Amino acid sequence: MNTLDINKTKLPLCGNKPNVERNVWAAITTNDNGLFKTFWQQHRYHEARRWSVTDFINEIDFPNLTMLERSYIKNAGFAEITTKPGADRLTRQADSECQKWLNTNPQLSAVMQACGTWSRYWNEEESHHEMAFLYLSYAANENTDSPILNAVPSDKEIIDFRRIYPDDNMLRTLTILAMSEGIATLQYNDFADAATDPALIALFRKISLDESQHMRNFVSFAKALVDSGEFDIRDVLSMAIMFMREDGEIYGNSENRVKERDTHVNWWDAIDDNCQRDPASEEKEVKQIIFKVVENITGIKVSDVEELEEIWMELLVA
Amino acid sequence: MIKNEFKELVLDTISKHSNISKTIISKSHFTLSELIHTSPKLINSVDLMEVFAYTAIQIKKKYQVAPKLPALPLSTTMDEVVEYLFETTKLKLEVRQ
Repeated sequence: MNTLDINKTKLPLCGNKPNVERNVWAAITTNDNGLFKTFWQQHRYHEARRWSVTDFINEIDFPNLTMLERSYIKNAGFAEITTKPGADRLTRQADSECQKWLNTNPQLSAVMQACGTWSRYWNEEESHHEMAFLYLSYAANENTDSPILNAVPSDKEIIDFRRIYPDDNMLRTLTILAMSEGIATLQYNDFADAATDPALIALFRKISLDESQHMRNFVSFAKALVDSGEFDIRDVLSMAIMFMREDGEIYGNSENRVKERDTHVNWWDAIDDNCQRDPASEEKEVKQIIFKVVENITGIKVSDVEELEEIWMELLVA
Repeated sequence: MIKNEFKELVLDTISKHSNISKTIISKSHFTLSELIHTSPKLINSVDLMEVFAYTAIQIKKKYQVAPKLPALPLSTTMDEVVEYLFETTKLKLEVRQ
């Protein structure tokens, strides 16, 4: 078997450790064959991060999982079903945007192609999360004396959770995906903090890291759209305000809000109240991560929602 | 602050930024959901929030205070929206005095 570490060879485009490309616009516009080189880095990074669901599951001590752990697993499984329609939508939307900009801004068209191509890795990585949690929930709760009911989704529930999100403009789409992945990072870290089974803790941490790198990818693509000069940063600010304002999405899966929106299911809609974190600390941490997303995409640094709203309204009349 | 004058300002601004005639949005029981679905410009609740922001900007120009941006259910009628904006603007004016 060949044990060569490609990241330590002198082969072209292999010498450094792969990472998320922070400046997609520069990578594509200042390089010859920028798109091919971007694909290669995306692929190397994806391969470097690959892991096995079945290996993690083998290490988990099912009979001794606590009720809280069983509940976390079930909720995470249901929530993760909603990521595939998000990724499918991103692929389709990125392709359509790629064609749209082809003649008027070919560099932006290439950025859209890079985003659509990366979505294949996002979709595959999310499938690990979905299958890990759904199988764990099945193994931990079905045909056991666990009081957790309906531990795995019915066919009807899966089809309902798979509904494709309605389209919006691409910058808004990438911004909400970045925020959503940031919140998932925090959520899985919290599950890890509260869990006791070492293998389950390791799984939550692994998935939290995956979500964190997804967030960094979405931020990079969103920033590239802003760098292109064709997209308006007001859309980043409005998405953040929508998320964080009073009674916004940050405040959980309120029944009224979910009823209002009958088009699709967001992943946080599937998190039961008993799995929610301490509301005050959750709100603080979520806001911090959203402010960071806004700053990294737009360069605008704020510390509270009112300040963000004020800047947004000033930009609306500018 | 005269309520009828306030209402006209709100409806004019919402009409302008949703591309729907004032006659249509002035109908009783016209809801926010209908506003989004009828408008050729609005897609979702983010666009709706933007329309409310433009409305708040106009209110601030005329009355020097901006109302709180509403986060109302889509079943809310336009009359209720006007009422909400009127009351929160009034409250802010009272606090300022």
